[in-house]
Amino acid sequence: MLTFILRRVLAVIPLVVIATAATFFMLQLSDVDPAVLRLGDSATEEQYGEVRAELGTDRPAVVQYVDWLSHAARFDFGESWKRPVPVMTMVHQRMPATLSLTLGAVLVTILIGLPLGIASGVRAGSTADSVITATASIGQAMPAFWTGLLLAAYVAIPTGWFPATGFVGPTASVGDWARSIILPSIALGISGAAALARQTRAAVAGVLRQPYVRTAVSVGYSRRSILGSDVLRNAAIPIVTVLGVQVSLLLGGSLIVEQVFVVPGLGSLAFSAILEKDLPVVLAVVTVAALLVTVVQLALDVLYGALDPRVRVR
Amino acid sequence: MRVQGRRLAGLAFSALLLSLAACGGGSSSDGATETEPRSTVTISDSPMVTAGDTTPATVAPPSGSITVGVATDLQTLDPHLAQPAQLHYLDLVYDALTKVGTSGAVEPNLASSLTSDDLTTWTATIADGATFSDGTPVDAAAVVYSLDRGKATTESPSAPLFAQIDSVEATDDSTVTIVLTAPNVAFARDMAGLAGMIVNPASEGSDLSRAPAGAGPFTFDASGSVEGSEYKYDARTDYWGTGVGVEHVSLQLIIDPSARVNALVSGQIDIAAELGPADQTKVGDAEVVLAPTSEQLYIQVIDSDGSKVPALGDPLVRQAMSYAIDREGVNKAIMLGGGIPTTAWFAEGSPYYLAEVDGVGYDLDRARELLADAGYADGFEFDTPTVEALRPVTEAVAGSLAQIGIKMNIKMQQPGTLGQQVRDGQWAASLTITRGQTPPVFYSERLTADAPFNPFNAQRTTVTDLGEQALAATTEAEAVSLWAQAYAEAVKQGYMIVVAHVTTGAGVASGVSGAQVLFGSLIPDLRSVRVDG
Repeated sequence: MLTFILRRVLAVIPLVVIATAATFFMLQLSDVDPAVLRLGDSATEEQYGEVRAELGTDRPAVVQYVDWLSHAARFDFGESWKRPVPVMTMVHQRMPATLSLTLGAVLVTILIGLPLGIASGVRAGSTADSVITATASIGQAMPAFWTGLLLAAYVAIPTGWFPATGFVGPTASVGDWARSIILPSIALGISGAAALARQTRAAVAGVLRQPYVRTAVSVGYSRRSILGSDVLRNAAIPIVTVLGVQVSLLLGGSLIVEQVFVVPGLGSLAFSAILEKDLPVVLAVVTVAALLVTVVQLALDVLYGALDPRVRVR
Repeated sequence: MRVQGRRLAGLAFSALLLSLAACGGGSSSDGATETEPRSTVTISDSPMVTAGDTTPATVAPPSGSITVGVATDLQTLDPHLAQPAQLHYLDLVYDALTKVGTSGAVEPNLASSLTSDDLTTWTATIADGATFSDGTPVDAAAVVYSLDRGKATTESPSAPLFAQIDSVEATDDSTVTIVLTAPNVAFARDMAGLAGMIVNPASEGSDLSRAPAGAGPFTFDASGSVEGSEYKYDARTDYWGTGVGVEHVSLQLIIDPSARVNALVSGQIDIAAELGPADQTKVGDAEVVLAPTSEQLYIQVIDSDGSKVPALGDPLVRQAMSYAIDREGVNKAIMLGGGIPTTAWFAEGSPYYLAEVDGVGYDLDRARELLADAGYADGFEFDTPTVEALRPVTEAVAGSLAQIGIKMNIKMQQPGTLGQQVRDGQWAASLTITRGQTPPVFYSERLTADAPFNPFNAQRTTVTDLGEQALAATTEAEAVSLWAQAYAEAVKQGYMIVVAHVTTGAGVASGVSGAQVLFGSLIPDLRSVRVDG
């Protein structure tokens, strides 16, 4: 198992390098000149040259990337082009909100999607199955920002149970932290829950049709014990796969949900950095997001190995 | 919902204030300063507050915290590099030589008096006991340093204000003589803004962008702030002045006005600044405080010589654009009828108002005819920036222009960044909104060939001829008349295509008292607000 994990950890490195290189060189294609950003159009060529030299943007792109990578490996993303603040400080300030939101959304996805999917799968073809499937289809089609606006307008404001905007760090108050992330997490996770419910339903219904399940039923095992010991374990691989994809999508969705609920996370940071053409910040956010996704994928790979020994062998 | 405040121009589309980031200044339709007598101008330290001021009579120590939802992000805390739209971020940490009171009159501040007999040579006496946040006394040398620093900052958005200063000299420890290049009746008012904010000489060589060095009532809490999200300030215990109400201030960036309203109603913030009429109706039990004056929502044709977009260099094209805009439709659909659709730069009631340029000017046939005469019968296209709060009205105007074949491509930008982009020459035209500044200041900022917001150095000679005469006018009546003519000419030439006049508002939660939006400001004066209980 240790070798398996080590192999997967090592595989993360080229993935992150490829993701950051792709982002870096794509950003190079933009016409953004940090010297013009800082000095405007009226500066002299000499002044522009000084700024480019200071930032190192006068060097070949490959050299810039290698230099950036060597610093990024030490979590040094340089300084923002627009703000007098190290990029890492900005990222660090935003991480708690993004991680909280992602965690909350994953919980929503699992806590809603999994039970509904199992309930639907074991009753495949029933009225309950149809209702759950139709509800899941609607849930999957609901954009996160729209769900967020509805939750803010019809839950947060009338009831006052949850804040309509803002984020409270867990170190400030655990209770307020939980209250501040519940609605954004639901908005962000509801679509994933619907997708997970549909996938779980299909996987459970499929396994239940397998001959060994029918045999187990015929020899007297209860459906509950079969479900727990055989069906869910065999259905787990596709469910975990969907969960992994959903986690990746959550990071993208948080960009919009953070705007709706005014949550100071990486999504809103990326949003403003893109509008401000602050490329070092954009690059840092992409890198952190790539790292988060690859870490999640690594965890899933490990989980695959735990669920299915054949994966470990390969 | 309770509504408080003067309405000079009716309800307004105040969410549009986000665009102040773009213009960084503008012209008031109020014109309060210009009616001052043009003789000896004095502000004295006798009434520190004027009638109508809501500052409590009994000065209690600052207490409590207040959170304000604002629409534009902080760019810099250096007053010599900040855009006027960023004033509320800096006003907490810097004191200026003068200040604008709640009545709109100029009052003493760091200068206990600022006087002039000829409007050219001004004498400032520094207030006793004034200190910077590090405890250093504010003296004449500090004022000289600060004004010289501003003059030397050539890229300053306040450069036109500093350019009028010929020399600054410390007469003694507490007296400064400021000699202007020409008489300026509004100099005391000019010193109430960013240009008049005094920077501590001890900060020489330091980057002030997140380490302000002022004499204001608050200090900036850099470590407690989150870039691009929330900026915190703590009241100084050794502040030299009085009247500060709260101990902690948090300015929270909430770009979307609906989210600001939600935050106010659900109790996350105490004040939601820059709300439009539609949002003002949603604040529940909160009080709506309106700004004292209306502002102009207009297309600023920056490239009026056609350097970047040749079509915009033709006055016929600019006039066609004006005729193509359905002002009443835009006002009804986007501002819920809360604005005043007009082509005029100054509102009726202003001393600069000229009826000859007032109207709605919607005539598509005339617009097409003018466009054809200019050789653009098939239309043309150009890019224009906007921010989220201005997006609806920009899209509506783009729809109007599309009727005659003009394609205005809208490019979304981060609020707070447009002023610099305009100055950098990134845009040929921009739909924006002004902010309470005097006609001479707007003129110097935007209309002259070397104005900082005229990056293409466009020549507007018919306007500048009148403007220079106005600057040299020897009587107030003559100056008013000439400014009225200059701005009317600018409108006729289509350098500014006015869409409507609008007024800003802020939602203030119950439990907060003393909130008032001062002349030229985006948000209520945070020095005077108090939190009950």
